[in-house]
Amino acid sequence: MAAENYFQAFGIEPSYDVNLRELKKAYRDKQQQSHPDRFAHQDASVQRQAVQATALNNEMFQTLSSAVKRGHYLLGLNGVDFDIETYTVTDTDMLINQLNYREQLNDIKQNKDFPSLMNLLDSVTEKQRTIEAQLTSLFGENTTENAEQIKASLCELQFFNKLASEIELVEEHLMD
Amino acid sequence: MALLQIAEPGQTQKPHQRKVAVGIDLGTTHSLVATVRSGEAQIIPASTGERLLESVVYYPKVGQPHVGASAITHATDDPNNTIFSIKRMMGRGFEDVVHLGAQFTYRFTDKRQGMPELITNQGIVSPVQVSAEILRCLSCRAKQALGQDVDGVVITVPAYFDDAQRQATSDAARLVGLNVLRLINEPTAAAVAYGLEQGDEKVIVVYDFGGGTFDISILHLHKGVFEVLATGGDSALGGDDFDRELALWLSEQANIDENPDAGLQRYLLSQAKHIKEALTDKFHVDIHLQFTSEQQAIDWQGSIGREDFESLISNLVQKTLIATRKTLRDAKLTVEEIDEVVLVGGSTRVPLVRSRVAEYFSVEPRCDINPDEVVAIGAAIQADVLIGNRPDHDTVLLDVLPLSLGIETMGGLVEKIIPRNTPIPVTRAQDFTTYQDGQTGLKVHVLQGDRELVDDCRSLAQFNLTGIPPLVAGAAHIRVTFQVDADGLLSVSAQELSTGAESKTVVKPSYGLSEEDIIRMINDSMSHAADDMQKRQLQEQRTEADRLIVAILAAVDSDGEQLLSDAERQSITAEISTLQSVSEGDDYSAIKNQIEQLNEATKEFAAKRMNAGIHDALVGNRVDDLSEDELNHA
Repeated sequence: MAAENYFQAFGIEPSYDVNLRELKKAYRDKQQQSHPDRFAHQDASVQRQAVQATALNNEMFQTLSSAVKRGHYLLGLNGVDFDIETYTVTDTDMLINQLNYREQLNDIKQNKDFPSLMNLLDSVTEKQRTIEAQLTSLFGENTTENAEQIKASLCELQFFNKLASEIELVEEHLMD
Repeated sequence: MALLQIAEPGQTQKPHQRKVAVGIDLGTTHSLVATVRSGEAQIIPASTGERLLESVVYYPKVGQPHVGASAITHATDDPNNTIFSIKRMMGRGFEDVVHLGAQFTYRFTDKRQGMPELITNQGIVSPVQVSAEILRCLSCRAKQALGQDVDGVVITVPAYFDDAQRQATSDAARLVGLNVLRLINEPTAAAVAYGLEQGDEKVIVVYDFGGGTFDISILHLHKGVFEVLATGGDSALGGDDFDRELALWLSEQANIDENPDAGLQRYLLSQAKHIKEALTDKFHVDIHLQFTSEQQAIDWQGSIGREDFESLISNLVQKTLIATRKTLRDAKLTVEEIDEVVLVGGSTRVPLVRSRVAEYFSVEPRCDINPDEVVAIGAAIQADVLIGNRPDHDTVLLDVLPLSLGIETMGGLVEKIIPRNTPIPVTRAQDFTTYQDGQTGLKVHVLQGDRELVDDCRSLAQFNLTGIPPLVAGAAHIRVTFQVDADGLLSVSAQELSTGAESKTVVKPSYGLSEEDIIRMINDSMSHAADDMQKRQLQEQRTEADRLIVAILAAVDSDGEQLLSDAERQSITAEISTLQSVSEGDDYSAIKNQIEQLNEATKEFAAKRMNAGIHDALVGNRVDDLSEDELNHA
């Protein structure tokens, strides 16, 4: 079986709005077929192939199941070049907003203010959902036309993802 | 993009070709071997009946190392040569071992890089060699019981083991010539043993509290797929720590010097272990300590209640639950979403551990398979599948990377390349460039761990990329590919992209053994084996020569006069003296040849004696029944 892209490899339509349950199921089925455990008693070249196939399968799944990576990949499929690491955010409101969030987290860390930390986490989760919904509609209309907006949204989403994991670290810190 | 075509499993397998595969649980305090026989996984006991093999190796001054119970008997009289808990040193550095503290009473070499080396009666040994002795003992056990060589093994490791620790385990197996089908995580093995993948989709937690490690794994099970969602734990926390707390308590109670010598320390730990085990069924245990060391003589009586013991270990148990919470978070799950909890490891026999776990998850944990044996049972089942004995079974174990992999960047920081809990196998490429004009080499330092600073992570290897074409700074484009296989073992390759030149990587594992080390050790053990064999053969031939000479001289003495001509007699004497002189040499085959020569030279004499012997025998036995004629014809 040859697949044109990651989506097709899992038998789903290329779209931002993927059904994660379906994706996960397709991934597990594929893993069961290609995993090196099934070829352990065969020769080294078969095993190497199985490792490669499974690693690729993992990579494809990781890409499609992450809201940021999926968007990035989908842009690429639409011929839009995008390097998220070197992309410069030009929206000053967004930048000021990000600085505010960071300051807030720092204060909470200093004051060991657990309730505020939970409030912050809630608002960040809310933000992540909103941006993902935006991305769904942006991709749903015309990806190439909306490319710049999509890039900005993906950057913003990446920021909130990082912030969320930092909040979790602070939470662990406060609980220990 | 083309996806790979995968052959049907089992298609190269002939139907009746059943292979022997065993599962080995290489534990900190004890180890086991199990196999599937007549469709049922069972522990292979020693010929004397013991199921557990204590993971203890004793190096005597002469002879083979002892493993197990016979090694333990030397713990008090020769503690420096009786190696316990070697698993804690596998793939670890000198610093880690110092950090593990007073529990190690052995003598180490002053090597500060890489894995610590132990000084024993039999010279310097690495933890890999000590573990190899345990594996050798288990594989002999299997070979004896099954009557054939083992075709493949599955060895279990704590899910929390990093690359260096896994590599060290795999190296130990290679040293004794075992074919490792797979290293699997202990918790996954336990889940396999319970067969929980049958039936409805579910999420389970495996709480594995052994002698030396604590592991917590969260798995999603469905139709033969064991998918590890997250794994965590503490690789330096175990039931041994309970013993240590209790031993400390004992020395306080009995007014024992703060720094007991090795023998006394070992005595206290073994007493603590007995008391701990007794407190599983009893609420109260009487204690009598009696020990005489060079330092002091101890004779103390007292008692301990279960609650006293529980208050000593309460913090340690709490530590396991903190690690559990962290792992649940990694799996993005809450306590309520857990369907089953499986208990593994001897330390889960401690009532406080069971009650705390039950309370935390609000489910009654499963422990119907012996918690000491469940891992080996699961490993045996998976070994049977992997060797191809069950072509209809498509059990696959989907594991995750236990700790993030990264590389050192400027300023001693670690940049993560593959984050922890990423499903494996995984391949990830990272691009590097040169920072100086004409630079032709690049040093890459690979680390594993989740902290930001290089010093807080485990150094896995240093790679020197050489042969980069000399270009202006930043023009060379080197892609380094990291691949972690299904066992969690890392390999690295590199290529210069702008010219397509393959950069050479020189791998220097920081803790494991280099390829040369392994080859040297394998050769050493083989040439030693060959040496030993030659010595034995030489001894056998010398004994045989002596025996033959004595027998012939005696025969010549008694019958030579009557049966041999002078010429015959001289020829035999000449052959005897030749044999005497070759047997003083070291060439066993020369001795063997000369023995044959002497046998040949005395063949006729032997035949004559045989006839005469029969004659005598007949005369002796049946003289009354036989006529003179018949006797002459005989």
